[in-house]
Amino acid sequence: MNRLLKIEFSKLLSYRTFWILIGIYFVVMGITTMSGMEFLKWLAEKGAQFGEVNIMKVPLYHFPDIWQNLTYVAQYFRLLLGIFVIISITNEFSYKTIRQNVIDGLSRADFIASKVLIILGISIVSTVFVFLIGILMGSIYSPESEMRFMFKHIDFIPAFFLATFNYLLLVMVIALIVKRAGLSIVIVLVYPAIEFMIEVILPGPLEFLTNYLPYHALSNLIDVPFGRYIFLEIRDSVAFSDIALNLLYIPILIWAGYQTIAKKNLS
Amino acid sequence: METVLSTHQLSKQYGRLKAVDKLDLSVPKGSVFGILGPNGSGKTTTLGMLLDVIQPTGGSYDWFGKPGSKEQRKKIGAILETPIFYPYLSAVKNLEVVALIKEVSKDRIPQVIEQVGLSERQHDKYRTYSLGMKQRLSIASALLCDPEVMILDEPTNGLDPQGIADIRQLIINIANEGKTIVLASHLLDEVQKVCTDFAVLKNGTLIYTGKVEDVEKGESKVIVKAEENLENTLANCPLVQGHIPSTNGRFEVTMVTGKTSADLNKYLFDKQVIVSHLETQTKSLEKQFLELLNENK
Ligand SMILES: Nc1ncnc2c1ncn2[C@@H]1O[C@H](COP(=O)(O)OP(=O)(O)OP(=O)(O)O)[C@@H](O)[C@H]1O
Ligand SMILES: [Mg+2]
Repeated sequence: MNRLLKIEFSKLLSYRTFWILIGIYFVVMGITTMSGMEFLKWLAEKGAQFGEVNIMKVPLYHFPDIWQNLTYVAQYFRLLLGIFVIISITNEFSYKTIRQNVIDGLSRADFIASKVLIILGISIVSTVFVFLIGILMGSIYSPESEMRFMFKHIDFIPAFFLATFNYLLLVMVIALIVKRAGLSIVIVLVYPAIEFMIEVILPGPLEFLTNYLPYHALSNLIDVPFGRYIFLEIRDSVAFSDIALNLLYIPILIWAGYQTIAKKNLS
Repeated sequence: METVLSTHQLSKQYGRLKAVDKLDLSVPKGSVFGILGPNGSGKTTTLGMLLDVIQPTGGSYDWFGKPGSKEQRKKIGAILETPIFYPYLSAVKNLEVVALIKEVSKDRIPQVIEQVGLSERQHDKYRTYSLGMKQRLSIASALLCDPEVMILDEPTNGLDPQGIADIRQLIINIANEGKTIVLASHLLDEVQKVCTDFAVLKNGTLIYTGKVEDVEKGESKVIVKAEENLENTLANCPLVQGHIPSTNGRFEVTMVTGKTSADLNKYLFDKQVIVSHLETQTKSLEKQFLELLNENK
């Protein structure tokens, strides 16, 4: 395991594109998730109205609301990580290095495992980063009285991890099937639309089935939180069934990825 | 004799095309085994199957008496067709990846880079290399694990004359360490110089396999030239089976079995003929190769 990760690192550490993408991800995600109050201020200046609510009083960064708000917004930046995953996989096909890796003594399963490990690593780092932002912003903005809710709804952090990990696994499978970077990015971008089209096509009583599709499954983990500030009912916790479904998808996606190269010629 | 590699009815079909057809090969330990054949005869496909990058459609193969596995490939140094590396990494960094995959120490990297004469450029990115430099790096990579077996698919492709001579010497040195080398090449002269055994493929089928020394065993030809015309002398010489005039007043002489150019030289000297050119020609692999292909039309 450690060796496979080392192999992956030695492919990446001198690769500028890797650092650029990862760098942009953390900088842009960090800045955006930390400027919620600036955003509210801007809304207020524009004269936006939330009914009776004073916009500047919206407790975006108060414990425990912060966990859902933060993880929900942070999810949007995973496309950058997805592009990195696509490049790291399609490069191996366009440079033919997957072929040389196998000649040198990697099995096809090792190859997939090394990609899964790097995806796991990135998902963990990203989750820790979001967690630290949460602790920081929460501590700055939460009134004393809410500090004791610091770890209430912390379950959104593992949910964020799962959503990121499964998203990147899904991207991996697409990249392994498509094998070309540009086309993979396009398909990753339109893939959610495909799942929603299936939802539209299915007759009403069967529509719930789409919730079991991989993209629906991982998106359902964290519900849109902001409705609660205009007194809409939202689900402010992570559903156990969603966690279970996503856990189930991990082996399915890895297996699907393996099947794309298991019995293929690598030329 | 111990066998390093054997294939049993190994086959690969692409649609209707039989790229490799029921191939039975056996490579003895310590041999330098040449695989010959015209373009598209299935050499690369065969080697690709032995290295698990091409899935056979039939038959099987054994390395050291066991079915192929990744553990075995870690101990094989192989280059297949064109050099393949990460273009954004330097020679050293690329070999570090290989060392990790093969689970060998990185300590040998400077040594193998030195061996192929790439030290000066070792920290430059791979994509800035010339074709010959890329080829040299792939040979360095094949040497990295100090392999028991090397598989070299056209290893001198793109190399300059010095590079070709270097690689030839390298192959000879490695073979002298008792290691086994499987070499696919179009340079028959090259194969004749370094190989002990060879096999010839045509349209995916094995049409010949044998020892290189047997090729050379056949009747020997001697090229001879003197100031005077040798026509009559040769015609009356009991050592000579036949002779045909060649360019520049030379004669191509077929000796009676067991007689050599030295015998001919002595005979002529005794007849007070001073030869100005005397050369023994062993039958070339190239000639045998072309004959084989023609026989199997
Ligand atoms: N991926 C593929 N799809 C279809 N046919 C293929 C494929 N790869 C190889 N072939 C065919 O298989 C045959 C054998 O090819 P191979 O590359 O093994 O030949 P070779 O002996 O290495 O030739 P060369 O001397 O040109 O390197 C050829 O007819 C080739 O066209
Ligand atoms: Mg070839």
